[in-house]
Amino acid sequence: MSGSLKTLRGRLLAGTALATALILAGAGVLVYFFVRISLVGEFDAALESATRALAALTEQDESKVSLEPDAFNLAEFTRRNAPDYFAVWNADGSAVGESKSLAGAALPHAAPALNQTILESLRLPDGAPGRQASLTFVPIYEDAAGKTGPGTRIVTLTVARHTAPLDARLAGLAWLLAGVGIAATGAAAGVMLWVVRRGLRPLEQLAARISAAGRKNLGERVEISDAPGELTTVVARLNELLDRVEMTVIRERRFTADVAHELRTPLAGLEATIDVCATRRRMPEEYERTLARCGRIVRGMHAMVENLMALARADARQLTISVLSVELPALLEDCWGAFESAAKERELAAVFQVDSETRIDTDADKLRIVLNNLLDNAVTHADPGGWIRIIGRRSDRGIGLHFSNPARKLTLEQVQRCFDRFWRGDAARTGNGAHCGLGLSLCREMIELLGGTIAATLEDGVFCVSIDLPNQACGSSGGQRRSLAENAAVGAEC
Amino acid sequence: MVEDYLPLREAVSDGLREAGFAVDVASDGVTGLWHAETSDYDAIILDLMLPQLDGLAVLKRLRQGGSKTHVIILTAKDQTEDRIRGLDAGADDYLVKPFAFKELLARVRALVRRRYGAKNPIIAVEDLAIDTTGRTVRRAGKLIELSPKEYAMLELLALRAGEVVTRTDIWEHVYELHSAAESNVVDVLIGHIRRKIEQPGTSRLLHTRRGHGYVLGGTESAGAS
Repeated sequence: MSGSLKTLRGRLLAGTALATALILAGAGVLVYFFVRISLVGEFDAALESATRALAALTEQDESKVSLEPDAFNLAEFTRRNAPDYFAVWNADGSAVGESKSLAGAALPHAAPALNQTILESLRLPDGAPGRQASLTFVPIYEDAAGKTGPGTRIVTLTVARHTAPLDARLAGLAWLLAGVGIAATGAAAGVMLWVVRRGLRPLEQLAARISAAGRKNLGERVEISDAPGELTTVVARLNELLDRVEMTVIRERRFTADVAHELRTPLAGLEATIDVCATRRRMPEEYERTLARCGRIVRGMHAMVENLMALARADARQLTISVLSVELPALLEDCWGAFESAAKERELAAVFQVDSETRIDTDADKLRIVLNNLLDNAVTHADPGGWIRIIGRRSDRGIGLHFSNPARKLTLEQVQRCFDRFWRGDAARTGNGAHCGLGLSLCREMIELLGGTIAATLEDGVFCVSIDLPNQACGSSGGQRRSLAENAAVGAEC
Repeated sequence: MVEDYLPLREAVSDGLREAGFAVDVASDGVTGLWHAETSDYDAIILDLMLPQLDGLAVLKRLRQGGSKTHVIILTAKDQTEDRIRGLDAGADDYLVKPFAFKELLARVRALVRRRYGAKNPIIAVEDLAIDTTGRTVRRAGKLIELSPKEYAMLELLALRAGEVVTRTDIWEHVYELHSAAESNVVDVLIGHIRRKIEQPGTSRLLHTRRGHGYVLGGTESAGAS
């Protein structure tokens, strides 16, 4: 039972059946009492009428009060089965007469006021339930000559009658009402079952569609023909949720495929290097050279895995921020040291325009990751023989940083995607495998973690990354991603 | 070999050289295409994701230019659609990274054999048998020791047995693009090979066509030395 009440159908059926039963029961009780009052009223009226009729047969002569002899022989007072009873008393309580049916038994002697009738229930002399009507009146005076007139004596007449037929009718009515109520409740439950089943069919269809949705095809959506208004909204919201789930799953799948794809090439390099080395016995210096090559590959893979881990931690909000006062020129100079020779090799002129004593309260390690990636990106991808310009300015909030370099082959479409994970400007990797398209994506995660914003622009063949970093890292909630249109304003310094 | 990932490029090209192949390398699509259009290679190993010009574009341009050089695509793209796209673009073979170097080597050898219409890995020229898989040479069942360069040269002559192979052809197939051509190196190597395969009591097998080149097998004609 408790199980069936857990379903919507069970609850609706139980609720409607209970409500129907209560309404029918209430209506039945009202009908019963209305009919009972009516029948008892009719019974009492008949009883009172019989009492008055009998009173008309009561006479007073000069010496006493008596009933006409016919009164004692009336059929209702002489029948054997459930006879009526009567008794007449003088005002002093002495008996005037009584029906033969009493056979020596007595009726309760009520004493209503003159010309008043009292009706009451009683247990009759034969033990059966009954009602009696008592009337106090002045009987008619009739002299010996047959002359009539108002009497002088006051008497009380009581007539009692069995109520068994009335009780039997009322009992029959009660059973009828109960039967009708039960049948009506059963019929109502049956109708409700059909109605609820039919009404809940769209819900069952919805459940089936939801259950099937996405099993074969993530792009599948829930559609219900002739859905009621309440479900149309649910279906619309559900499909919106499925859209978001699909996008997330596709992004995750693409990311996993990208990771697998990016690991294949260095793995192939590692395997080929070892395979070739193992083809024959070699001189020690050849083994040393092979080990050095393997080491370079492993370091490249290590860098990629570290970037991936940092991104995963940023996604999971597991990165913590340790705020320090950072001197930007010193940090930039320190980072630049690792790229200076590569810049010279590519004949790139480096221009630093950073305000001296520019300080910011932020996480130095996270900022270092950003600076290293942006410098690496600029040195690797700037047009050969070009330049790299780094501008650092104090702002009201903290600092503004701008990294720019000529990149004539870069397109606006490529810039729009440059913060995507595993995106590479020319869809390839550079020689040492360290550039797998995670750097700018990692920069964005770090800057947003530090409460800042990062944007990329392309203007007249110059690629520029602009950072707005606030003092005191305030967590990732402060970070916002900008559209390319919004980036134009940010990139004005470039 | 056209591959932008330096460690893989180094490992594969070194391995191929040790296996007796002359290998030219390129790290981007534009350079790779230039090499392929300016030299006649037995086989090209081509990556797909390349800077400047991707591998499929390189392949399509090669085929549009009428190149019949056998191309094996070496890529991390492993989906069936990628393979179909590569083969439909004109590739002769497709190998997914990571791979066993021996497998790559076997596939390259097969492509080279196909270039010369040979299906049997053992090339027989009269009583000379060259096992291209084991890289061994036997004459009348007797094993002959050759250096890698000598072997590469003899294999080329055997693949084109009965044809005149010019000194330029030999140079291009045995030495790499950037190596300096030395006029008598081919002749010196031919002399070494001749001494090793033509022992006293055996017939003349390697013939010189003066002013043209060399022929392996067949009867010695007028003007030959």
